[in-house]
Amino acid sequence: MTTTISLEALSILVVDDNKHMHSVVKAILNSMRIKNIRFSDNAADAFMEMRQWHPDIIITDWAMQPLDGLDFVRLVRKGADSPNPYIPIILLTGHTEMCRVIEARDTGVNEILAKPISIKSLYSRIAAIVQNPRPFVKSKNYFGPCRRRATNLNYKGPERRQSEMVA
Amino acid sequence: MSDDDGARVFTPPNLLRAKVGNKSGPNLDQIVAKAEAALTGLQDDYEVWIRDDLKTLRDAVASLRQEVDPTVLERVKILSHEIKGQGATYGYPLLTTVGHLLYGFIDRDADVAARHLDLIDAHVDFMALVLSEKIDDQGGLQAQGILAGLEDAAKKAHGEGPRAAGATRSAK
Repeated sequence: MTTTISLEALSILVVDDNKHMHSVVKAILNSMRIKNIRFSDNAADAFMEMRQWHPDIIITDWAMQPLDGLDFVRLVRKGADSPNPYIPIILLTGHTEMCRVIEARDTGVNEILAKPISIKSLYSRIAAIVQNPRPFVKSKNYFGPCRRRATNLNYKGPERRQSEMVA
Repeated sequence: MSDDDGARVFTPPNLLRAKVGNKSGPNLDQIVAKAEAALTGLQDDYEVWIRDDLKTLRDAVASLRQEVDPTVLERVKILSHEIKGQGATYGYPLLTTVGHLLYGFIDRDADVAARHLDLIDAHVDFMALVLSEKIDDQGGLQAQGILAGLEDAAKKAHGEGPRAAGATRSAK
């Protein structure tokens, strides 16, 4: 029996142009006792919700129109008028090819979750965001959560990151 | 990773940890059981939605037979991708597999797919069969044979040879 942390205080914005997926994600989040959920069909509406409602976490689909999920993530992370560039973002996608995963990671998502959605996986992604948030990186070409999942203790090359150079 | 040259690393305050506090939640098995029960409750709705989706797919193929419109074919691709993403969630893993195959067939080369509308129809027919027979697993030997046939036909359409006998299918 695996114990969990209580997530019921969280507010989550779900961005997906497919109404069926709203029902799926809502059912799963409700099972975690998360009731504070709102839904947006598109990026523009999601931006409005972010400004007015200030969700804690965003769960967005990749395949949307007119802007897709990665366009939306870019606007959140780098847009001059972004309501919250640091908000944790979980990307839902049926694209599980490695090149697509890397593309999503390089856009600045915190977590990627393959569809069909696994209930345990969604819980673990949310719990990771709450319990072990990754630091943020700002460089010439990237702004978002640190993309390094592991530290290579045998790495002997130059350190390129300012904070690590200072430390 | 040259993108990290001169990168600044910083840790924003963890407001969410403070917000959720130290309370324990339900155990994971309870969460899964509750979610599965809720999703089962949605299954009837899903069967209505997926029937609508299959009708949309059939109408789209009929339209493509009259005139090849890339936007219509793209709609078929997107819809097959959505079926892939939802089928297993609602207890139809075989729909996820067929959706995956159909999406891959069109995504690989839309022009080839547009010349093989019968094969798109065959995928849709099989999805309709899965639904009408309420096949809630990966199906028996017959279903697996149909899947292998669809996959081989797609490869042939794309100018490849069929799978070797006994080869493992790549679709998830």
